[in-house]
Amino acid sequence: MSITRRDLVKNGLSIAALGLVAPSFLVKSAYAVSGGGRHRESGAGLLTGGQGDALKKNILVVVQLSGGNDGLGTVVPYTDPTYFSSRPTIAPKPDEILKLTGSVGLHPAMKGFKGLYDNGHMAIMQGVGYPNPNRSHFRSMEIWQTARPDVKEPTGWLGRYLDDDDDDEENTLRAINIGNFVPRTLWTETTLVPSITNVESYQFRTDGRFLGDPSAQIDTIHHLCEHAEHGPAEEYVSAAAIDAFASSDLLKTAVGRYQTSVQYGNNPFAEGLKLIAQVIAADLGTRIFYISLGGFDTHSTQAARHGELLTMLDEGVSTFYNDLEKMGKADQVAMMSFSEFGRRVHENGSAGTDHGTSLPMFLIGGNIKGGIYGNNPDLTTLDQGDLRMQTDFRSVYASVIRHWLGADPSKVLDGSFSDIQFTLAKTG
Amino acid sequence: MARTEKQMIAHLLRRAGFGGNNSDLEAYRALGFEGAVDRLVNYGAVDDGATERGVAEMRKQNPASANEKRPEYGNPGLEIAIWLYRMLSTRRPLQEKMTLFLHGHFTSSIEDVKNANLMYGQNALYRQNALTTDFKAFTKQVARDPAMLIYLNNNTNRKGSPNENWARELMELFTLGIGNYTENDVKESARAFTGWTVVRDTGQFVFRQAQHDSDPKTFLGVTGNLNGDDVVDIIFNQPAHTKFMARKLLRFFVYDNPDDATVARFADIYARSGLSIKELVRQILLSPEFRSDQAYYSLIKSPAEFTVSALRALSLNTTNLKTLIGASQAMALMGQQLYAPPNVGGWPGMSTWINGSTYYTRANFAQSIVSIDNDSTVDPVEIAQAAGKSTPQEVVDYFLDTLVQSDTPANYRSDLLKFVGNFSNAKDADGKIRGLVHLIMSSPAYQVN
Repeated sequence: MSITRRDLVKNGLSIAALGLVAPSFLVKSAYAVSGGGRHRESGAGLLTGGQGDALKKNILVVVQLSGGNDGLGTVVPYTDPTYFSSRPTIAPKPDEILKLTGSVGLHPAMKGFKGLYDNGHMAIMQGVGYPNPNRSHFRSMEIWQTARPDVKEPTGWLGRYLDDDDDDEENTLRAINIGNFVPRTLWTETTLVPSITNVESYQFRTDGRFLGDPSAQIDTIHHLCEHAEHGPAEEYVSAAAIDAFASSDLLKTAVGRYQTSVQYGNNPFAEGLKLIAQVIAADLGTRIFYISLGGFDTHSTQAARHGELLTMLDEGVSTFYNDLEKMGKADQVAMMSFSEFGRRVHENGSAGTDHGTSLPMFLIGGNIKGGIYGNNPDLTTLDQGDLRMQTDFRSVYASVIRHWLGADPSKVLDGSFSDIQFTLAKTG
Repeated sequence: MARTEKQMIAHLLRRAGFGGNNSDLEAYRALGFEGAVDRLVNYGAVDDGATERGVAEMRKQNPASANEKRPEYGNPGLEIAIWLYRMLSTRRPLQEKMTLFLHGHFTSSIEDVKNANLMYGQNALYRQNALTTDFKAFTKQVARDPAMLIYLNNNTNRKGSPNENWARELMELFTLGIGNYTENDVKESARAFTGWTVVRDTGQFVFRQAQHDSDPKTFLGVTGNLNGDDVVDIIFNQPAHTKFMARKLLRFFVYDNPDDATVARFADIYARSGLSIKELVRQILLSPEFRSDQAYYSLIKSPAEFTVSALRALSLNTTNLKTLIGASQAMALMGQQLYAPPNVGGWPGMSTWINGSTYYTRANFAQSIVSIDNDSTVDPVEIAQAAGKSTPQEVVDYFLDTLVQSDTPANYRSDLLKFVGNFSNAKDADGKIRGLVHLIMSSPAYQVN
């Protein structure tokens, strides 16, 4: 009898419930025990016929802006007098705002984004949020990451997408997080998403001077990882290590082959995007990438700090896009940015802003239908000093799942959400 | 499952400290489990002068500031090294462990505070109150801590233009938990803390009456001309606090998912003790839950626990700045930079500690500390010799006992014996003993707590 991944979940091996993610090695050892032969349940895939197949190579890069990005200072309603009267010390100078339309423009630091917009590669979704906004960083981030505003949910929305998508399931690099912590967005029931900061250190270092055969050390650590008998925490570590062993050679080769004429910046965000470009160039089948940029919690002296962060975002993303264009993959990749909330309309007494509600999301890519989706924020009809939302973030997720990843959003999200057609016709 | 007394003492020292070498384990075992808890909790009775002399020596030998323009900002590298040295050297491990807990609870980050001297001031405040017998009084001190006031922007919270950052996190993350107050309570308590600020030049706490909002406020149902201390008093009258704190400490010391009945039992102990963290922690360590199968090896070592326990197990105790900063940088890559938690929620812990990248950093750190190139003083070969172990089997069993108290499956041991094989000469033995320690420290069994 062959044991399937779903059997394991059904039998209570869903460690997500314990706050841990199920070790994928359990799945693999189960296959080994049952004598190999991968069992694929028929009709369980999410792909919606021919349309889905055409999208199977599409790649999504999620950019998380942590801390609560000031949406109004990013996409600025520059003709609205209430904006400038609410932000006497922190509003960008009107003549420096990078105008996109007759009434909205980008923060002066976002010259690269302006170019992407002008070339039709950037969609701005205005006023994205969720009902009954929560102003706690942690709960609100959790809501955006799990896409379940009403209940506590251990798995993330992209984790559930990975769980339900059987395509290329054995590939340990189907999704990659850049950084030290796997975000809740990528928590799954059955697989462990690798997190990588640097390919050079992403390998098991041995000391060849003392032992003629470094492979003896590698073999032994593989074996020790299989003898994890102290329960779920140790099994979890074991799974992470075994997955890491499986992916590090692939990554090393990919990075070794990559060449680019594009010059990335000298900061962790830019370096992370470069690593993503390296993996995309190598065609390792990775469809989901996740990268974070933190520090957006600008309660004080916002103007300088926000400008620095947006510069880093702008330079990183536009350099990355440039690199994708040069390798002929700009049409295959979409970037999506979000933050746990925007910030309050009125600045506070510290030349900063406190926690707010809805904010714009960016979608960037060669096959994205550029433009502004939705209306300018209404700065006069507020709810407790905060913006009212226009679009539920789950509408954006549902549309990304349907139109970009080629899957059925109802398998990932709870309920149905209005559809936004943001891709160019050629991709469906 | 029956466990040896040594295994339970090792469990206690991992949770209530940073592990230890064989002689530490033996010294605590000689006291019996309850005696060991008593010694850990009543750390005031333990002389730790050697650590204090080490710290003084480090301050004498290194520059007090790393910032020419702002000498008052101090030397961040030195402060990080000193704290790591304390963890390595301390004979009061629970005091240092609770200082780390408090750093992840009442968080502040040098990335925002900028000033290493203020971060040290906060660290000293937490160490002094590591097992406070009055958490309410301690919270009032934290509300006056300059690093905290700067980190959560209360230094710019003024009448007419309040800043809600500190007021919100005080309730959400530090005392009550989300769902136990309203958005209006956040706004009203921010008003109560207006004027609680820091003198720019001296870095001292000051209350500025002129910036304080003296109008009536209504906070958690209480109306009056409330100030910050009143807000703290009202918060600690909420029944939600004792459960919040009991759950957080149970998750830190025992297991990740304590049930509601267990939380309620310890919340009651904490309430009856008059909000004594000392009594709460003592009762947790003595409880059957702490010694249960459910608790044993159920947590994942934090980078501080992994790094410090690996070095302590090999008896490395150094004041060398370069070695300590190197170790702290490895910890940062493992996901825990001292004095710089990722955000105001501290480190989320458990499964978030481990992924491919952080796993390799742990394994490669273990490799670096046993490598002969390293100028640290760790030498597993000398350690084995000093213990009188010479054959491959003796050496394997000795390190299994020291590092994991021999609590690993039989095939784990046989794989190590196979790896070591025979010692053909001294050079061969040297490489294999180092490789052996590296492998144990890289294995999943050494990552759990």
